[in-house]
Formats: sequence, C-alpha cells, structure tokens
Amino acid sequence: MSTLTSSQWPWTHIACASSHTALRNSGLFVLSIAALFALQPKLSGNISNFLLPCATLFITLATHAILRPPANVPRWSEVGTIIVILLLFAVVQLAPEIRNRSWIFLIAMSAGGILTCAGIGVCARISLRRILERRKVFIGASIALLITLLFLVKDTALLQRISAILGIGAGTVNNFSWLGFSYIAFRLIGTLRDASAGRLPAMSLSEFVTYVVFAPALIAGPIERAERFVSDLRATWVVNIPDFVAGMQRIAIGSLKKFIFADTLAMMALHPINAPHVHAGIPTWVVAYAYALQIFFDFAGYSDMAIGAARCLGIRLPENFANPYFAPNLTQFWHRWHMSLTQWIRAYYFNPLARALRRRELSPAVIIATAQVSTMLLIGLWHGVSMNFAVWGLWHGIGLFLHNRWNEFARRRLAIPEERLGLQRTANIVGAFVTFHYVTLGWVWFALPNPSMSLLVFRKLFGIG
Amino acid sequence: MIRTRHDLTSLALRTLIFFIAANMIFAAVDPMPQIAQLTLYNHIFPGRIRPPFHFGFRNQKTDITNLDMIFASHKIAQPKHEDEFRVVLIGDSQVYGLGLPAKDTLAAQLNTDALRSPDGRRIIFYSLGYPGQSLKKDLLLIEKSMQYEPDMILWFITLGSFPAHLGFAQSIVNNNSNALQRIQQFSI
Repeated sequence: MSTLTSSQWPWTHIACASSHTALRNSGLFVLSIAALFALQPKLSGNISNFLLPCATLFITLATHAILRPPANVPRWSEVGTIIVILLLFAVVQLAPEIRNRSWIFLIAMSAGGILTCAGIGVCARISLRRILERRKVFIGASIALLITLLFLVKDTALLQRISAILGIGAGTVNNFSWLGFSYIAFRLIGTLRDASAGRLPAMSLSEFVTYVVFAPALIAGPIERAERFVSDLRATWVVNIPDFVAGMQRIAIGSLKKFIFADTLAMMALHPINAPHVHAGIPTWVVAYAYALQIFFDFAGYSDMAIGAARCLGIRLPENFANPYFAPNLTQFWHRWHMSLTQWIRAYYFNPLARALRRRELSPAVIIATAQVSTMLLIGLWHGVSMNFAVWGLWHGIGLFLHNRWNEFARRRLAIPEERLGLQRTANIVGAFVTFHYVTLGWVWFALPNPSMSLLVFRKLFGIG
Repeated sequence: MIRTRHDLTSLALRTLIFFIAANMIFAAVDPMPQIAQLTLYNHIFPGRIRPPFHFGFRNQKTDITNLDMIFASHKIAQPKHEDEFRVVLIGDSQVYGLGLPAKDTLAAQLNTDALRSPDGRRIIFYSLGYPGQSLKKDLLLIEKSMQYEPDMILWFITLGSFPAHLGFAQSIVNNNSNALQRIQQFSI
C-alpha cells in the first residue's frame, strides 16, 4: 500500500491558500457529508431522517477502520469535522422533536449524543486491524453484513413485518428510503474486496468518506472504483473554464433529459395506476415505449448531471450509458446500460463465479447459464426484493443466455462475410430492433408491482383475451 | 466549443436573447387553447369520468383548472353517437362524488341502469360536478359543456351556492376569469 501524500484533511494547506486541490477536497468532504443529511428523503419522523445518514456514516467509518493500515490514523481535524456536521444536523433536525420533552429526556439525549461523538472518534482513531488478526475473515463477514443489510433495506415486506413486531416506525416502512445506500453499499463492498486483493490504495479518512458518499453521485451513481477516484482526488486541480463549461454543459444536457424528456414521458409511461385502464393494442405499446424512454432519460439524465457536477470539480466519474437502445444485441445492451453497475457486478461477482464454476469442470453452457442468470437475478433484486424485479432479472438472464447460444450457433453457420457491409448493417438494425423490443417487454415486469398486473399488460400488448 | 470567457459571455447573451424571443412569440401567438386540446385521455387512456380534483393531496396546486383541458380529457369530448341522448350533471361535491370511487358516483350509477329516452336513444350521463358550492363555477362548466351537444343539463343547486365564498371552486373560477366575464356580459 502506498503512503499518504496529499489531500489529507489540511486546514494548514487551506490557511496557506496555495492549493486549489486541498481546498476542493476539503469542500467535497464537508459537502458530501452535509448532502447525506440534507438529501435524505423525509420519513414520518425526524429522528429516522437523522438516524439513517448517521448509520451510513457509522458504517463508512467502521469500514475505514477495518481497512486502513495501522499507521494511517485519521487526524483529529477530520474526525472533528464529521462530529461538527453531525451535531449541526442534530440540532436542525431534532429540534422539533425535543420541544415538548422532559429534562430527563434531554439529558439522556445529550448523553447519547456525547457517546455517539466519542464513538465516532474512537471508531475513526483506532485501527480494528490491530485487534483483529484474521483480517480476511473479518472482511468476509463485513461483506456478508453489508449484503444482508442491503437486501433487508430492499425488502419492504420484511421491513413492515419487523416494524410491526417491534412496534416502531409505523407508516414509514411503506416509503422507506435510505438515501443512496444501494450505491454506498456497493462502494464499500468494492473497497473491502479490493483490500483483500491488495488493490486498494491507502486512503485518508476524508478521502474514504468523500469517495463513499461523494455528493454528486450519492443519489443515482455512477459507481466509481476507489483507485481511480482517489487518483483524481490527489491530482493537482486548477480551476479552468473549458472543464467547468464542459461540466455545466453536461449538467444542462442531463437536466434536459430528466426534467423535460423523462418527466414529460412519465405522464404517459406505464405505471401501476394506468396499466389496468390503458386501451389494448397500440395504446399499450405506446405506454410501454414511453416507459422504456422515460426510464432511460431519467437515469441517463441523473448520470449526466452527476458526471457534469463532478467534472466541474475536477473529478471524472465513469460513463453510465452509451446509446443502449441502439445495441444490436442483448449482451451489447448490458455493456451500454448502467455501465458502472454492470462493470462492478462483472468484476466482483460474475467473473469470480465463472472462474469458480470453470474449476468444477462443468460444460460451458451450464457455466454461462448459471453465471448469467444468477448475475441478472442479483441485479434485479438489487432494485428491490420483490417478485417483479426477480422476474425482470430472470427475463434478462435467460435472454443473455439465449443470445450467447445463438451467437455460438450463428458464428459457425451464419457468419456474414466482412466485405458484405450492407448485410452486416441490416443485421445490426434488425438486431437493435429485436433487442429494443425485448428490453421494452422486460420493463413491463420491472415497472409494475406484481406479475399478475404485468401479465394483464402483456395480454393487452398482444391482444390476447 | 467554449474555451474562453468571451465564448461564455456570448453563450449567455445568446441564451438570454433566445429566452426573451421565445417568450415574446409565445405571448403573441398564445397557443394555449391549442395546447389545451392535447391529451392522452380518449386516445391512449379512456376519458376521465369526472373533472380532475385532488382533495387533500400535497400536490393540490397541480390540479388542472383550465376549462379547455378539463373538457378535452373528459369522456364527454368523445364524438356523440347518433343514438345517444347526452345528459350532463352539474353540481358540487355530491355530484362529483368526493371520496367515492368512480364507479359509485351519481353519473356512474345512473349509467348502470342503461336508461333509454322515449325515442329509443341511449341515455348517457356525464359527471361535470366539481367540489365547491359556487354559482360562478357551475355557470362556467355549463357554458363550456354547451359545446359538447348536451340534450339535457341537470343542475343540482341549493341556496348554499349563492354566497360569494368560493371554497374549493376558487382556483377554477379565478383561472377562468375571461370566460366568466363573457358569461356575465351575456347575462347583462
């Protein structure tokens, strides 16, 4: 692991006012933590609005404590900054809750606050690696814990049952939303896996927290690899107009996609409310196409805004979309749709699984089927633990497998000669048409809360019944 | 490609000019009556069976109060069949069926009886009730509904509609003041 060089929490650097980079990094650190609290969707109680970002911070700090080398102790200024921001939001968000409470409650709460701050301090300053000699086991357990937590958060039905048993959070679990946790969990799992493979660079606390809860990518990604993010963070940054303007242009394009195209299409896109009422035949195709375009513009718009905002600050986030609906086949589609997620899944799940299966000497078809279907099922469940997302995942997993088999068959028997460009172009157009429609039909599973409603829409699409 | 501050200023200036020009053209042409006719209802989705009104929702301010839009999305905008006897119901929240599912509104219940007129035409009831007791609101809806060839208008009204207080009807009355002035001039 390399030693820390720059961009540690540097009040001294700021005081010198000589480094734009240090100032930018300090600003990003503060902004990202503040965004975590400020952007948390409102649940029914102010306490949960405050506790969820606290939990994110705690998990992040604990992960950093596991990963950092013993010598890489966070500075008190870094820890202090986190505590100050936390206390600031505690005052703002919890003030309405304490207005009519007794003195005993206030004293207990203050004691709890002091203990929390002390806990953060200890968690940030001690290195768990000293205590835990069996680091790999601990990393594995942390990954398992994060995955469990992720699935728990995504399983609304389970959350409802738990809240009913515990008698807490009534009315909040239906719309339970833990800001950015899907992405945060993946970033943390990625760092844990990279650390166990020896690929994770040594990161200061401020760098690590900024990476995990990076404000522009907090809500909808993209999911960046820690190594690349940190290299951008450490590179000398000078404010320059072309970069800033390019970033602003990207934000403008993203806003156009999200607020003009996506939000307009949302009025006619497939939705649980309009699905039972839409006229059968062409009107149902129109709402299905509208959904396909809406979800693309919505997500691509957010990604553009995140990439643009990061670029203004000198950070290059990875691209997330590359004209996915023009992909000539389903495999290509998944190379162009939500690219940062698929690359992450490929690196941390698909490839290791495929390697493990290959060692068992199974047939290639079984290996591909198992790896692709389980990968897509995982991606489906990442969106939410429910039947519709599982079916959507299976739809794409089976589609990818079928394409793989077709590709094997076509390569041997239907190969188009390179000189026949016209035929190749026609094949690509037909492929893009078929792929787009396969993906659009897949969205019918994704958009509606239960498969029975999706089947109703399929019947309307094909005029059955 | 923007590379200098001059380029940036130029872009800002062009954007400003475009913004002003677009607004001036919009004001001069006033395409709202045409835009108001654009709707997915009666095409992709079935027409609305009552005017849009969201009681108690946080997004109440997004209620559609433009009369052209209300009628274009309503079931009444569908072409009238030759064998149809068209009856329009006007009134307050009772006619609207506030709190009731669409199938339980007065118009829907009357339509389930499949009534026929003495000359054999199918009697179809259309709910144009809108929450709020207000003569002004009712007159606006009656006047507009005349464009859709009603054979009969049933106006459910009580003395409660006479006071100037608009209640729920405030936004629909205030946002259609031109139409209201036209009606008032006609009555004088």
